Amino acid sequence: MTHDTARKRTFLVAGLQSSGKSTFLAALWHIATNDDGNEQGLSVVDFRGERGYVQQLETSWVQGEVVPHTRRAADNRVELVLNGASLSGPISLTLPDLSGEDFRAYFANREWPSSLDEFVQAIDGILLFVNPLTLVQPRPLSEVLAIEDSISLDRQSDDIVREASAVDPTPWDPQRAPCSVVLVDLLATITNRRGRRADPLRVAVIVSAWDTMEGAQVEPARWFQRDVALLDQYIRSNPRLFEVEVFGVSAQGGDILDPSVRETLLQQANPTDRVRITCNGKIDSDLTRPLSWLLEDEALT
Amino acid sequence: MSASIPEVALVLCATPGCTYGLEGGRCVNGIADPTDGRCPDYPNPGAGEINGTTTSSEDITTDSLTKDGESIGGATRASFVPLSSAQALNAEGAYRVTSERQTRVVVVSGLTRTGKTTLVTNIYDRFHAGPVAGHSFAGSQTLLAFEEWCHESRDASERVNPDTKRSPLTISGEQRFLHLCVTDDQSETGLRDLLISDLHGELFERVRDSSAAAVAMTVLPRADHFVQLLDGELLLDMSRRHETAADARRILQSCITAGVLTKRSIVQIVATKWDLVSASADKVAVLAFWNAKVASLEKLVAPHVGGFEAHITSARTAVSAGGKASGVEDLMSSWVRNSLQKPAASHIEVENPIIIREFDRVGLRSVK
Repeated sequence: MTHDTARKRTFLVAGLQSSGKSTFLAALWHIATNDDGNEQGLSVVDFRGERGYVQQLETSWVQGEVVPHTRRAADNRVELVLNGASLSGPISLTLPDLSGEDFRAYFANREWPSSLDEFVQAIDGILLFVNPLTLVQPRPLSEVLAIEDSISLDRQSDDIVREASAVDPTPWDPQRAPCSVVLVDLLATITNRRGRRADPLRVAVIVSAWDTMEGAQVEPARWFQRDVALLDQYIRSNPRLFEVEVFGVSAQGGDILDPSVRETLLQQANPTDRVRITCNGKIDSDLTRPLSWLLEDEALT
Repeated sequence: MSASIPEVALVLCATPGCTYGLEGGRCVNGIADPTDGRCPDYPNPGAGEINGTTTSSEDITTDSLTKDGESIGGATRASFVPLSSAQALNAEGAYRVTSERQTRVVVVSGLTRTGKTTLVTNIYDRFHAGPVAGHSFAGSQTLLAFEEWCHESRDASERVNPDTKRSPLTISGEQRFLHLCVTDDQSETGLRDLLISDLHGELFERVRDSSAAAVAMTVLPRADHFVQLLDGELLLDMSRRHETAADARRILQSCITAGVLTKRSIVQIVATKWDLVSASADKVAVLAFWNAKVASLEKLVAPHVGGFEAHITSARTAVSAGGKASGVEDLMSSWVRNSLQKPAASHIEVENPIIIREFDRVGLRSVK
C-alpha cells in the first residue's frame, strides 16, 4: 500500500479534554474527502477507527454546529493516513485518545499501554492541542486574596463571608492537575521513552478556538508563552529535545454560538474557507500548514 | 440444605487504563466501587467476566483497531508500562541525578512549620506564571509531588486561606528530595539541576540535639547551600523569638561540630513569612532583632564555611506584586548560580544506606 512506503511519517495527535482535536479532525476529514476547496489535493490513503463517528463530527462541523464532545469509550483511537500535493509525502496522524481523558489517567496512574509506549518511540512529531477556553490554570490563593483586597477595603467582612461560604477543602486529585503540567509530563515521558536522538522532536502546538483570542491582538506564540507558561518554558528550554511552532487555529472560523456569526459563516460556499490559521503574522485557510511544518526538512527551517 | 449464595459476576471494564477487577487494579475514574453505577464508563462493552462467562485478562483488549496484532492507545490488561513515579526522590534517586548532571544540592533546614515546604513549592509554583529571576523551567522529575504539595495553596483546594501540606515523616526518616531543572546561562549545557531537600522538621530537632544526627544526614557535606529558616511569625512573638533564634544557632553549631558544613558550603539564613512582619506594628523592632541575630550567626558560622548570606522572604506574596517582592526569586537564583563544591565530587554519597535507616529508626523512637 502507498502509505506503507518508507517515506511515510508518523505523528502523534495529543491534547486533553475539549482541546479541539475532534473539530480539527472533522475539518481535515472534510477537506481530504471532498474536492471543493481542497486546493492542497489532500486525500485519505488509509483510515482506522470509527468512520461513522468521524463522519458525524464532519457533519456537525459542516453545519456550523458545536462538534459533540467525544465521550470516553473503548474506541477512542483514530489513525488517518493522508497524502497530498502540499505534503512532501504520506503522513500518518494517530489520535490514541480522541476524548483526551486517557492522557490524564496515564498521568495520574503512572502507567500507559505498552502499545502506546512502542508507538511514541517511532513518531516523527507531535500535534499538541490546547484550547484557551478549556485550559485548567493553577491560581494561587495568594493571588485571589490580593485581588479581593484590591477591590474591597473591608477585608475582615470578606473573610467572614469566605468562612461562611466555604465548603470543605477539595482534596488533591491528580486527574485535575493543570493542563500544562499534564502536557509537560506527557512530553517528558515521550522523550524519556524515546531515548537519546540526534534530532529534536517537532511539536506543532495548535491553539484551537483562536477566533476567541483575536480581539486580544496577540500572536499565538505570545499567548502560549504567557498563558501556558510552564509548558512553553519547558519546550523552549530544551532545544535539543524539541523544536516548536505555535499555530492559532479556528476550525469553525468564528463563534458559532452567535447566530449572526454562524449565519455569515454558513453563507460561504465552501466550508473550508471558514478555517483560519494564524502563525507568525500570516493568516490563511490552509489547515495543512501545521502538517507541512512538521514535514519540513531541517535544512529549510 | 443451606441457602445458596448467588454468584455475582464481576465484570471487567474495557475502558483504556482501567484495571478494575484485576488483582491490585483500580477504576480509571478513581471510583472505589464502579459497579455501584457512579462510574460513567462501567461496564464498558467488550469486557470479560469473572465468575460468569470468563475471559482471561490476556484475552481482553480495549482496542477494536488492532493491526497485525498491535494496537495504539488500547492495550490488553497485562500490557501496561510503568512510568516514572514523579514523586519525591529518595537518596538513591538523588544519587542518580547528581551522577548524571552538574547539580546544585540545597538542604532546607528548620523545625516543624517554619515554612520549608512552602518555600520550595512556592518557587516551583511561580514558574506557572513565567520564568523566575530570569531562569526558565526546563523540567522536573518530581512533578506530581510538587503539584500535590502546591494544592492547598491554590484556589482549586477551595480553602479559605493558603496552606501547604506538611512533609511526611517516613518511617525510616529517609532523605527525600524535590527536583527542578532550570535554564542557566552560566552552565555549559544551558541548564542547571536543583535537588532540594524535603525533610521533616523533626529530623532537624534531632540535628539540633545531636551532632551524630548531623553526621547521619549524608547529604549535608554535599550540600551546595544549607538554608537555615527562621519563622517570621515566631520572630513577631516576643515570647518565642529568642527560642527561635537559639534553635537556628544550635542546628548550625551542631553541623559545624559534626564537620558537615565546610568551606565548600554556602550557608543562607532565611527569614520566612516576612509578609506578617511587614504588616505588623512591630516591624521595626523585629527587623532590628533579625539584623542582630544575623550578625551573631555570621560570626559563628562564617569562619567555618565558604559563604554566608541572609535573605528575607515572604513566599505567599502574590506573584503580581512583582518577583522581587517575595525575596524568593533572589534566593533561588543564588542556588542556581553559586557553588563552592568541586564538580568531580558532585554526587551524593549514599554508602551504608541501611545503617542510616537503622540509625533513623532509633532516632525516631527516641523523639516519640
